Amino acid sequence: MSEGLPTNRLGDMSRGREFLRLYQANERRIFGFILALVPQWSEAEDLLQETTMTLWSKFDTFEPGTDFAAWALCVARYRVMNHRRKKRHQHVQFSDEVLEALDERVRSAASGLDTLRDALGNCLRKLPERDRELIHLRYEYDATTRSVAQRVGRSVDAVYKALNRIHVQLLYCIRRTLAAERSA
Amino acid sequence: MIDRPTEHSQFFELLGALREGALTNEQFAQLDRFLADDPAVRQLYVEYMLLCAELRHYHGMSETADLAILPGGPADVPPSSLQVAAATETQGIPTILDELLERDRAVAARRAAEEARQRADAHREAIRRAADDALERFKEQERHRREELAYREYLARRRQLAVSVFAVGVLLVSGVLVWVSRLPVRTTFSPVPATPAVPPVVATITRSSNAVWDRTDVSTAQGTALRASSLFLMQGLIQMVFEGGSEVLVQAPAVLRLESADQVFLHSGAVSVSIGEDSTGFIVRTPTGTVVDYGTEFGVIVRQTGETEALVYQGKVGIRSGSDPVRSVASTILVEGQAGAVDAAGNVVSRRYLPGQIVREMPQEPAFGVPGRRLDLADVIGAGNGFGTGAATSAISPVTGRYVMPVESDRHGTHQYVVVPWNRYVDGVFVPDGTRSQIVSSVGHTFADCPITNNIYYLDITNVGDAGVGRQMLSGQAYGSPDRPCILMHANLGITFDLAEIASLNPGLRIERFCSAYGVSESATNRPCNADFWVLVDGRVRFSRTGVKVKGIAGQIDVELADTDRFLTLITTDGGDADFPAGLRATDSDWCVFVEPNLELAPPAVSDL
Repeated sequence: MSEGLPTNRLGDMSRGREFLRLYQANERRIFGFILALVPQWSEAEDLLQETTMTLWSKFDTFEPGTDFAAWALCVARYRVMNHRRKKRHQHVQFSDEVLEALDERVRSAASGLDTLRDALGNCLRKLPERDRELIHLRYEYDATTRSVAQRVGRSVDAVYKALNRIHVQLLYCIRRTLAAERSA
Repeated sequence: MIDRPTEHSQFFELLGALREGALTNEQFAQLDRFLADDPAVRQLYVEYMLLCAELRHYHGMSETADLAILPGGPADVPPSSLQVAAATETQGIPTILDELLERDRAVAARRAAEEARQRADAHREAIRRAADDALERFKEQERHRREELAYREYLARRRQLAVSVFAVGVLLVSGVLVWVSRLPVRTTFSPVPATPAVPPVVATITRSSNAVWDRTDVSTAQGTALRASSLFLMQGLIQMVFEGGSEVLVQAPAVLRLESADQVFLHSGAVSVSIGEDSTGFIVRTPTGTVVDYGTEFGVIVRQTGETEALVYQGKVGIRSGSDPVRSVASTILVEGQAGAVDAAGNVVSRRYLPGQIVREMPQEPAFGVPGRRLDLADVIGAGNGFGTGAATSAISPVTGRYVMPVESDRHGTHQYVVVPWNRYVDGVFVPDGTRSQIVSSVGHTFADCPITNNIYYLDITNVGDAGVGRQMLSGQAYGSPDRPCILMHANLGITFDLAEIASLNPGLRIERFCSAYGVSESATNRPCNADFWVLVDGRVRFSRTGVKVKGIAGQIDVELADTDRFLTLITTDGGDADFPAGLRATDSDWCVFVEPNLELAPPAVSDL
């Protein structure tokens, strides 16, 4: 039995299901929050896993019916702060002021993730086939811009620039879509 | 408003490099500046990163959703397998884009079919939400009302304490007698009735000192489990460890609500918080602000005025306006050695860092000052809060107002009243001399009967300890230890305490009286002494004893104080002796001391409520 797990709940399957239901409904929000504060992809993935384990081990203290997302983001923030402390000598980090400002901003933005997801689906459909393919390949597990370049037979630089352009296109397409929905 | 991508081309280049993990340190610093300078850029950044996170889900990680519906899915596996699940999740099988689009189309079709039902649901949901909101508001008002009632009940109980103690004593004696008389008789107990559901345990008491809750159903003993509830610590200190791992020391008088394993709502009073390595962090909410730790040790005070002040002993904290830990109007980050506050108007402002305001550690030995009951004024001179946080063998210079080590040397006064900004409890200091109008407070109160002195002082205003001038003797008893504090005011010194500030950090209590013994210490030379003692309240003499010419005799001072009294002044003067040509001053051998000087704290009279 792992240390720190809520042992008295181990036999409580409904509790476990409840955790997974809440976690899966909020996993994207948690990861987006972490990635915005720690924009190094692999470190953000590690932090998501740590956060998941902490959420589960502390799930006994979560009061059913209260805001799971707010609780989860608080836990994620502590993992991020611990991570910053450990890594402060290894690589540059956002300043405290920027982090604090981003913290508030991303919490607010993450609450509208469902509408962003719908808009993203529409915007992906609007992309030319070739651009969709690039995005798809780039976000495959373990893919890099270099591996994508090899698969499509283009230079790394060309793929890099194309990915930059597509991301910005998607970003502004989503913005326009959401603005139109708001004004409708 | 939607701006154009070309307006941020440089910024997007940085984001591209960031996404690919190719950002240099210089570029990262540039990105940080962009984000610091412009809220619109911050918004773009956040949207961009959320987009990347979503794309990760849409493509590489699309297996995640399926995990939930695996037969005997993750809910049924041991929790440790979550790690495996999470690892599996990051290695999910990629989804073909066409399939994704097909799925989107199918979803859109289903949505259209369900649109009418959703509209009806939305209508019902709106009604339910409105009802829920109303219920929440009502609950909040109810909670405030109950806390207010609990507080008033405590005040009434406190006044009846003496009677209760006596009554309990009588009952105990009677109980023992009855028990002894019925000893052979076996008692049959009725079944214990079913207890209602109780809130979860969120903290456990680890230590306490002179602690008294307002409730008798909660113990102050070590190991007592504390449930999520509202508590009022009337007196003393309680140290507790929360389930989340954080250690919190509560200083009376404090009204607080233990909200969860890592959160407390402090209505009034002071707490210090220490975050352990394994802690999930801690949040202190207050009526005006929220203090969020970033792995640290810090203190929080909620004053009578409603102001929330945070002090950082180690690490960092964020302080935000409003009680909502997520949303706020204003916020700032404080680092070690800084203090900040949310004032009653909701502004986040900086404050002078005065760490002695809050008790950070439990007292190691019986201390004289007891939070909620007795405030030690000698400790205040040592930069403390009156409950043992000050330093012994420390002093305040009567001419500069600075915190100094006491020095023995004849020096002249300046005829100035000097304010002491670094000590919130001390208004100011001076060298008394009636040749001019003697000011005794920062608002201009004067000491009309101030005698003429030689305007010379020999020692700074000193909180006596073992070092320096050492302990002082009065009536055969040594003073100058934590349990027997002593202010040494060799003749011709004056100090004024700010009673309003002291009351501010002791919300819900009133300062009932000033009590102290006084005299000329036996530690002085064997030459004769002649000194005067004065106690003033708002410039009016409330106690005086002039011409004390015998050493080692203790007299008593007991000055009743009213809520409207603002300044308490202690003065010693040289008895009006002349300076001798041989070099002996009028102040010679005038080792004046106030021993066990204290302010008695008590709840307000019921008639005042």
